[in-house]
Amino acid sequence: MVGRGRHQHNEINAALKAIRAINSTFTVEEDHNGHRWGWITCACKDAPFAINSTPRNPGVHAKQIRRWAGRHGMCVSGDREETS
Amino acid sequence: MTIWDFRVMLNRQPDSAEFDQLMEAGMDDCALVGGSEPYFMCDREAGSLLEAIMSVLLQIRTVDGLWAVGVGHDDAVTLGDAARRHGGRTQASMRQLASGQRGPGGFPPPLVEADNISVYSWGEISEWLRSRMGDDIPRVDRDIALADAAVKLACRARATHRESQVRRLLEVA
Repeated sequence: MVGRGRHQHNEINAALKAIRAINSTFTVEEDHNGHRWGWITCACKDAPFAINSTPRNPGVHAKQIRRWAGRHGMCVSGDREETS
Repeated sequence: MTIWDFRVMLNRQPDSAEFDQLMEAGMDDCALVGGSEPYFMCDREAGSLLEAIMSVLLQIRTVDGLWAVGVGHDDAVTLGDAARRHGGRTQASMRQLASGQRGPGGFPPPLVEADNISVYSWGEISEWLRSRMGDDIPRVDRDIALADAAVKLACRARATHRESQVRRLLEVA
């Protein structure tokens, strides 16, 4: 049994922990709705990321989380925002 | 087989039930990014990039009223993604250039760096490789451009109810 606040896959937990270290304004909200575990949102409020509860490959999904975070890493300072 | 990374832009954001339907149709290797311009971030294993894109498009069409409006590449990449997109360099070669062990130095810094995974801008890396290393990299991947053009043509055909004529046009052109 996995407690609230933790995804069942460690790679995804590690990615969530890592992105919080990059940008403290990232918010992770669990909603456990079907195949969706929750959402990650940025302070810019643009393009929230849906965290899968049952990804085919947890390692790849963790990489997708990091890639998404890469595009929002500097949103707070405004130096680098989504460009595409 | 290779895992191909690309994004598929959608005409609207799928609701929760539709999201579940898509996951059960096999899109559990894709991540939904919502908002005003929703898209799926896809990492699909296939024999070619076009096959990977086609299989995702077929799965999206399993939901009524949902379709792709474009195909593209995410700018954010790991060095492994960058090597695959480049096609002529290995991940090890990218790592050596990034660390300054090889090449003239000045490799673009990562957008983010966390837990041994660094995420770079493909736009910055590809420009640096073109200008500093003389690498011949197209500004937009040929297969991504083809798939994007096909998807946009399909959207226009659908909007004007000319799907069968456009299909025929493609066969004879």
